[in-house]
Amino acid sequence: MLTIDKLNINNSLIDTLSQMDNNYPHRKEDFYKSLHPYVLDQWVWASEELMRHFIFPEKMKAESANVFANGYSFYSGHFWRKWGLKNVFLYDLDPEIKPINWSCLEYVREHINIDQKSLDVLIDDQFVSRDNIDMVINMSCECMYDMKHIIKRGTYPKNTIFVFQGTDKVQRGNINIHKTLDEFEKSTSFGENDIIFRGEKDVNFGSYKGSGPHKRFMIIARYDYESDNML
Amino acid sequence: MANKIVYMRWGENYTEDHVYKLEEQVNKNCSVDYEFCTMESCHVGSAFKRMDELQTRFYRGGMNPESSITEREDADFVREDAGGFAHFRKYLMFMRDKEEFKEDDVILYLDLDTLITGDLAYFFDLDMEKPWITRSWQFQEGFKWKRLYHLRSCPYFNSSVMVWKVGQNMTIFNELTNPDHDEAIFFQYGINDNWLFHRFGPNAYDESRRSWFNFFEPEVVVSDKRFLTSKTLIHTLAGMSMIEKNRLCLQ
Repeated sequence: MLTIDKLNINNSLIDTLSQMDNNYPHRKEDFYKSLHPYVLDQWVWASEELMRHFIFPEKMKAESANVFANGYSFYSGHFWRKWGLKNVFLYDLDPEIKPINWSCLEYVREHINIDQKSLDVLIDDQFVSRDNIDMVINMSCECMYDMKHIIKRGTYPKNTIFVFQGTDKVQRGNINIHKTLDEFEKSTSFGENDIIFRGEKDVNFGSYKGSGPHKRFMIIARYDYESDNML
Repeated sequence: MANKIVYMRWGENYTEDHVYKLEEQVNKNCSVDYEFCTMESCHVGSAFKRMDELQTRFYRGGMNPESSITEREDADFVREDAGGFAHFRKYLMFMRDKEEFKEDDVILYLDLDTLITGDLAYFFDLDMEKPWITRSWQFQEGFKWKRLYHLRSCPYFNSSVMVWKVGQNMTIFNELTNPDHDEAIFFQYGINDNWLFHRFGPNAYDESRRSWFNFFEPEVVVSDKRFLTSKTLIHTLAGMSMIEKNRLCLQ
């Protein structure tokens, strides 16, 4: 039996693979790519840093999250559960992602309410949930315009945590790459006092498509409204 | 009501010879009354200036931002990934038409790289409840348009041939020039038709814009020569290099 942290993922994976065979054979390559360890590694990195900064010593207290450009989300469901999320809103441009995610997230659907919308978070931002959102996750900032365009001080509840990742990797679809962590930070609207974690890591998972040597950048932030009040 | 056959020319790739050759083809292939004209006002004004500035600011390639193909095989970016929204001028027609034409005029727009092979009267006898656009039927093969949807590539819209009534596509112009989003649009989209397809195609999130256009029948307007038949009225050369296009258009 396949498990992640004792969660049985057998049925989700088998059902999804069957669905890919029957209904989405043209998307198999994309789906297989989403199962590669380099995708998992992005979430592990985020999880480690979140735990370091929130769960130990502070509880994260996040129930609802927006996830942008989630793509196929087989691995990420595990982390949402681990982080204590109860409601996850997924936003992806690609409409074919929805039925596949519904299947591959079966293993967490008993614990997490999942809502999916096929839209462009930059252009359709009026349709993106903001009320009671505790967390905004974008592991694919390289696929869209700068986050500072839609995420600014005051656009989300004051305790919302933001987890953004980007890369310097040149590849098809990466339209917003950054050479350095400083450059990546400039694509966000976070000030020095807002940033909880900023870091980069060298990634190299060999010759598999998109997984060769490159850098990934991550910023975890929460707007510091207390300093504003002190001014 | 008058029938307008509109072309647009800009940049250095297309010359007066292309206009002359297109007009010659139109004259030979239209059995109803029409006026062959252009819309010069699409190259001036504040909306044009704003779009031109956004194209310059956000184009990340090393070639002409108005080119819609990846000209170098070894380029780091394919054209679609390089931003800059090539051919934005076409959508200015949707705003300028009210100034240039009468309320009940019907407009047939043709790219200059168009081969006309049948009677254009067909386009002035359509049900105009919705505007019309060419569909790139070849992208249906292997569901290519679905596979590349998230990469903002392979739209099944091809704006090389469009038919609309005056004012009918103003919503498209308004969407493109919305100051809240125009930067994101010009940053994210390399080519106009990918944006049009996402915002006004069958998957548009906003229901009021979904499936905005009707399509010409598959054989009527063809952009892939494998689909050419005796019913074909227009063969568009979208996707070819200028050398290939000129060989066909200027002969």
